[in-house]
Amino acid sequence: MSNHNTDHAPTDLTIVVNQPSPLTALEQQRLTVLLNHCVKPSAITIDALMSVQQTRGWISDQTLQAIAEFIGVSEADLDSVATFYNLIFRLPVANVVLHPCNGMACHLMAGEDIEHQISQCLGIQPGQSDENFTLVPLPCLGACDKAPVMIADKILFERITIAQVSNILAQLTARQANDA
Amino acid sequence: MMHNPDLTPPNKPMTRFVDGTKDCYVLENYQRHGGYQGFQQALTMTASEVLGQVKDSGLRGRGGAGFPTGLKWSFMPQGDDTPTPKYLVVNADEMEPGAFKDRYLLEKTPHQIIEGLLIAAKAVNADIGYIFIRGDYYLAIERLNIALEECRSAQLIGQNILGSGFNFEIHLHTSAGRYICGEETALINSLEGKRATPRAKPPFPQVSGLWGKPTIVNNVETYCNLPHILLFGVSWYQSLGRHKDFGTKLFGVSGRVKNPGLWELPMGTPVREIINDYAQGMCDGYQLKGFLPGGGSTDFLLPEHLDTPMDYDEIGKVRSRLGTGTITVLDDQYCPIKLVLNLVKFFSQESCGWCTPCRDGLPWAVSLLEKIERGDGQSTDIDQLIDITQFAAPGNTFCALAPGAVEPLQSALKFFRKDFEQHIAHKSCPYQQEHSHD
Repeated sequence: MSNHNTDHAPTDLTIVVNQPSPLTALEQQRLTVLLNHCVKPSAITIDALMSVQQTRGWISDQTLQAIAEFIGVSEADLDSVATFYNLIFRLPVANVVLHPCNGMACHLMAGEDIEHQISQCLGIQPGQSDENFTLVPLPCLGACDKAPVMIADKILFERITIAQVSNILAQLTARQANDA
Repeated sequence: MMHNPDLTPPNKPMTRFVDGTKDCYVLENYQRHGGYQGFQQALTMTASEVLGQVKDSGLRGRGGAGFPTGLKWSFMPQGDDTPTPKYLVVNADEMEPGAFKDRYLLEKTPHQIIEGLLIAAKAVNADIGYIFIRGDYYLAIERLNIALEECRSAQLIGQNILGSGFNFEIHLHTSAGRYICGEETALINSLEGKRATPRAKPPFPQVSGLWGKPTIVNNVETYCNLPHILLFGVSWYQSLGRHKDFGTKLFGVSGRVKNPGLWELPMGTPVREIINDYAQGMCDGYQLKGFLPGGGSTDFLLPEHLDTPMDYDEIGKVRSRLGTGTITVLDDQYCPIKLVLNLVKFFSQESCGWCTPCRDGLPWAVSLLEKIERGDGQSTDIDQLIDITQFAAPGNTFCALAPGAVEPLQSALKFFRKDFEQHIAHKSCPYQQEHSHD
């Protein structure tokens, strides 16, 4: 069981902003594959951002600049795309992003209580992070018959009860420890 | 490829591949149970014969609008002097609050969607297909990627498919998330790597869509109907409906019912049967107060509407929409204003910000609903909410997002008016004691 310290001040600064701005060889290789299979460079903006986010977790200003330069679109155009979509993060996030569903079916089944319980356990509000988790509620996750639900680390947790929340968080922390 | 002449016409065609034991998301199993036979049938026909069969079947689009599929396809220009490539898109960006049918089809039967796409490609002479899938649907993405690989190895996609001379390529696009991507022209902008703002119509995508080329966008479930229409024929398909619309539909129920879930049933199945028989009625201690028949952008209906057949026109007659066919049940212990607030907040957040009634009107409605819900409302707030539903009505907005957003609001103001007035008169939410964690 991980120690979810509720005294810990919730702040985005706990994740170090100091990431390298030049693209790595792997990142460049992935972008080159995308560029080789597109009608024109502007078509790959979303895939390019998602691809680099895969390795860095989020898209900093420097990263955005580097991607724009590499694929040959303007920074402004790329940022207009980066700020539009829900799954592209322009602020640092922790290793695991928790997406409890805040759609209507989950709320009808007391999904708000689950989100509240997560907040309580971690001492963070929606949009904030601790050392392991970032809390980003998402709208309807398309599993309304199993409400309330949450997606985290590509796993869909179904029919969550308040009592299960701390176990789920522990399970996710353990998976991260195993991956590391 | 295996052909099974003994295949009897099923009454639940789309889910006949799913019984928990067959694992029909694997090509071999899908084919063993009759998969790709509808496409093989299409390969023996001309494009106009395939189009004609889909037109004759009376299939209507399963994304929510219910537009006749064959008619939509017929708007794509044909002939040697028309632009190429022609594109087909599968709209698998399910994000409507309360909708959970496409996820099921995507995860359980990815090959059924690919087969439908191939049949559509044959009908309209399309060259390239895109499956535009919601980024949060991880299992579906994984299975579709595998299914597409299997198809490439089996010569079901690519050049000279099964030696027929027919060519069709399919790409999977994973969305980075936004509800507006489900709007077909916004989806096309997103495929082009832009912000997903809707485009002006006309020109319609069938004429000028992706990269300015002819493009048809259909919902996942629409494609899943096609293999069976080709394989078992028009009269079989039409015999499946129980009312005026044809075929079957995935119907679902969520909310406080005993057995929430999803079932493939004949079009025209009455709401009462779906909620009482399949979902086994309300949970003990809860009464049915109302329901949304087809997702968060459909008007509320009341218990008095339970005998309405789930048909496009019949649900329309009682002033709602069939939408996605996934019913959300509102019980008597959940504040209807809180539910509407949840929905309007969602639509407000997901607005692309392009036009004023949506960008400004929806947040305004949210703030009024919040005021009423926390007990600070005034009676003039109800009038203002009614005004907003009119500002955001069809014709005043660029796309269907805002008109959809005000459907649950306008019907809540009509059917649950007393609840609004009580909140205002008593300066509090009467449901609050039941449902509070503060």
